[in-house]
Amino acid sequence: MRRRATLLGVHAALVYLFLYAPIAILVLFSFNRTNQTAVWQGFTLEWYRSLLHNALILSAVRNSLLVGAVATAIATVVGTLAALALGRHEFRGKGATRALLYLPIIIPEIVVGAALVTFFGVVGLRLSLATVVIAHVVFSISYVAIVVRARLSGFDRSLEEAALDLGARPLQTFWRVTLPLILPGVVSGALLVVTISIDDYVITSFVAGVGATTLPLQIYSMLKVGVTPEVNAVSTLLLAGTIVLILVAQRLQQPPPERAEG
Amino acid sequence: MGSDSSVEIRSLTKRFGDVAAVDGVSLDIRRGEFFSLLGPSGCGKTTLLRMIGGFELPTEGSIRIGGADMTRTPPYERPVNMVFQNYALFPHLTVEENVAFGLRYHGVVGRERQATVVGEALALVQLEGYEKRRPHQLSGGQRQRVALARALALKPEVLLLDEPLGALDQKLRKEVQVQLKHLQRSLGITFVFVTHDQEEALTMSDRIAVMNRGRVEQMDDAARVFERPETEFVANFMGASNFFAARVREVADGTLRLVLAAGGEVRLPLNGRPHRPDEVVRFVVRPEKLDLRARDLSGHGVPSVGVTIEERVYQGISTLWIVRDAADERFVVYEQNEKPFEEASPFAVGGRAFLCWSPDHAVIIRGETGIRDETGAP
Amino acid sequence: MTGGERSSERTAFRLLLPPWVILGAFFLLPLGVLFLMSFGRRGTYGGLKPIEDLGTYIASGKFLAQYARSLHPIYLQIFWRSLWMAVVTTAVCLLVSYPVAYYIAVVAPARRRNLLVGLVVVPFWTSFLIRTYAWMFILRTEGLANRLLMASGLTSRPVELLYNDFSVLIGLVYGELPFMILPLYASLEKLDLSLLEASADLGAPRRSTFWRVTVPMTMPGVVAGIILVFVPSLGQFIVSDLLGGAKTILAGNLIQNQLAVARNTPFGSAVAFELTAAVLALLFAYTVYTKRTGQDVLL
Repeated sequence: MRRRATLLGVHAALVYLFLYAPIAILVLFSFNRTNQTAVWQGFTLEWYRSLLHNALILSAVRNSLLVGAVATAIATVVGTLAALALGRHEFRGKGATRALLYLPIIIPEIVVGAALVTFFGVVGLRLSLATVVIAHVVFSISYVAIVVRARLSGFDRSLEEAALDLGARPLQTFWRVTLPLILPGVVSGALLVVTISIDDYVITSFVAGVGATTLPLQIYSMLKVGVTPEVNAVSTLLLAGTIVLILVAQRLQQPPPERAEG
Repeated sequence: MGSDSSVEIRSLTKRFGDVAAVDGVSLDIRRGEFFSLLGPSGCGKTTLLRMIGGFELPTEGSIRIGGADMTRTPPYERPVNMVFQNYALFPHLTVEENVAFGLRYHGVVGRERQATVVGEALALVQLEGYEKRRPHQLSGGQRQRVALARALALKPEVLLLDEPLGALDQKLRKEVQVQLKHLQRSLGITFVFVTHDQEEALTMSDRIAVMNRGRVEQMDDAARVFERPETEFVANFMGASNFFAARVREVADGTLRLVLAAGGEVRLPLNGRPHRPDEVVRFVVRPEKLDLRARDLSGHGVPSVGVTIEERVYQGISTLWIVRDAADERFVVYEQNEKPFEEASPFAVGGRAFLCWSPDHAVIIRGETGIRDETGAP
Repeated sequence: MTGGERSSERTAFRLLLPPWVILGAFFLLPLGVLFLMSFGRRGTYGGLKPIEDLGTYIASGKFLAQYARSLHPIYLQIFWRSLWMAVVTTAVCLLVSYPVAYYIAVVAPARRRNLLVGLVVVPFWTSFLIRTYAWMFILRTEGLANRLLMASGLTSRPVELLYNDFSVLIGLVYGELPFMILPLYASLEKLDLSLLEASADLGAPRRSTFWRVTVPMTMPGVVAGIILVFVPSLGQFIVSDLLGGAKTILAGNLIQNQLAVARNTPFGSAVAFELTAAVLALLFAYTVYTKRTGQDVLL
């Protein structure tokens, strides 16, 4: 019994090492003094400093933040509407609507990217930051809808009935009861969407026009040229940023305490 | 139909698909009374309550509240308020904010006026000092009282309560029953109370409607429902499960002479319903109204039925006997343990005895409950 | 349908208008366009070759030319490699993940469970690109792995660790592992431990309990994990592009190459739809499976 538990523990530890060691090494070498990158030569912030002077990276960061913000804002509202309809109402075509919302996540990214770039070409829309935003909204709606829908499924309908019973009209009920209660789900959906948007490479690589280079595109092109500690530094920053967002999103997804007690 | 009715329900039906959850119910709830809807789960009592509250729209029939037709009025325009089964307190608001939630829709505006009303409502349920707490910081009993205060703060014409004591433990429940009854009497508000617990309904109600499969089986004063069940279902539900089958021999001088299926003759007082000779009837006697005797007392005008004792269950304050008559019917007798413990009982399992009762305690029931009648009567 | 239900439907349609419009215009429509493209032929300078007469075009079977082309041995070999890579990745992930999920759900102390799950979730959401880059960094000729190999004396000269099937496989397993652990954990966590005790009580040895109780009970998680790993592996692009050499082209790279480099949209579209069809078939099989078992860890 004990021996089996120990073996499982050791195995799990090795897997966690496998998951985190590469990331740790990548982060560690972003502080390495040399660009002979496999040998540790001492600590430096040199590469971070040089990032600040890299116009390409700075503009890529700006583009990524802009796309992330706009796409998230649109997708959060639209995805929440979809979640409310699916979680609250019975209507014809519900199954088809649910399928439509899962499809952008299910279909391989490469196909979505190919379809969008072809479509933009056919309708004569020039590739730009706007086309990137459109692409990101498309797959982000689904994520928001799924996260908010999950929050709604634990939602006690009698709370809304209580509000109506106390005299609040449906819209007042939404603002005073429904929205405050699903807000953590909405915010956590939005945070996840920000990270996905900022991280996305495949679809973006298809639909980004000239001057619409986002951070992953920039990193990718740097990788293709050659590995430098600067790439490690910018990767570290991106990782740090998204991990913070994910942790906050995770926190918000925990069920509220009053439900836990029943 | 008049001003003394708070709620008037006519031929109310609610179908979910092919199933009629509520099936042609008509009843009047009087102003200021404590009215209970009693029945097992799935009998339609909660659906009926939710239609009064406006959360379900009826398929057919009408509802009038306070004299006005409200069949299709949305919940936020009805002068009724609800205490939900799980209380439905808003988890993101404090106790105070919960109680104040509906005030602005009822013309109570301004911080001070609202604070006064909230204070009064919380005083009513003895929760002063809990204003700033959140629902999850309260005990079950306290939450129930906040839900009550929140509904009462709006001074509704009718207060609806959907099994509000179901989540409380046994001891607390008894206390709250008495408090709730007291509160209702002092406020004079009509309470419509849904429960599946017959004891709870008896403790609190002025009148009870017993429901079964979407219909009202019997609507009566609480004591009458208990003492004079009209149907087999009501009798069973109120814990009176001793059914006797008999044939009418003679109807005379306010008495009914019956021949029991198991043999022997009994006399029962007439209950106002017409009976003809040779008609097969069923009557019920509550277990605590039955007596076990060693001798046949039919000679003394006391109904007596010979039985075999099958089981004896000691229950502390009482003893439960299970016996069987010649027609193989089973009966339950509830005997108070009044005699000294050391005194041996004259009855033993496997022995013979006589089942006796006072004629006044036998209640003839209607047969048409859809349960097959062994005597072949309709 | 009662009045209440009808008004509920009206509200739903109003709520759904924005998502329907956006997904219709910028998702379904583009997919439709891409689908139509796959029946065309590439023009001399990219774009589409004009079709003179639709009737004869269809009758001649030319509209299926791209699909016919995709059956050429060169491409079949690419599909076969994609499939094989996805199968191996899925198998490795399953074998590695099951004990980990079991450890988190059953063996590890309850108070540490959330932390352990969280540590799997974080890579689940962090940039796939950067996680792939991390391996590129390690496996390079002058990378850490080679330094360790040389230091240990196993080899005197750097070994080519990158740009082969092995490095692609590592990258795929690394990227997809969390997608296998999480559903397995979800179903193991729901497993009623008293069932294992009951099995032991009935005389089953531990190995037998595992195969006769634990594995069947967690099958929904296993299937969900397989889907979650297999589907993205099949359409993989980044890993094979960064960690694989010219020899390790997968279906994803082929699509990207046809659309972005060769400018052969019709052929790229045809391959894209073959890939999509494969993915949808798998998901259809999955929904049939979940309908049968009534347990869905995924959707």
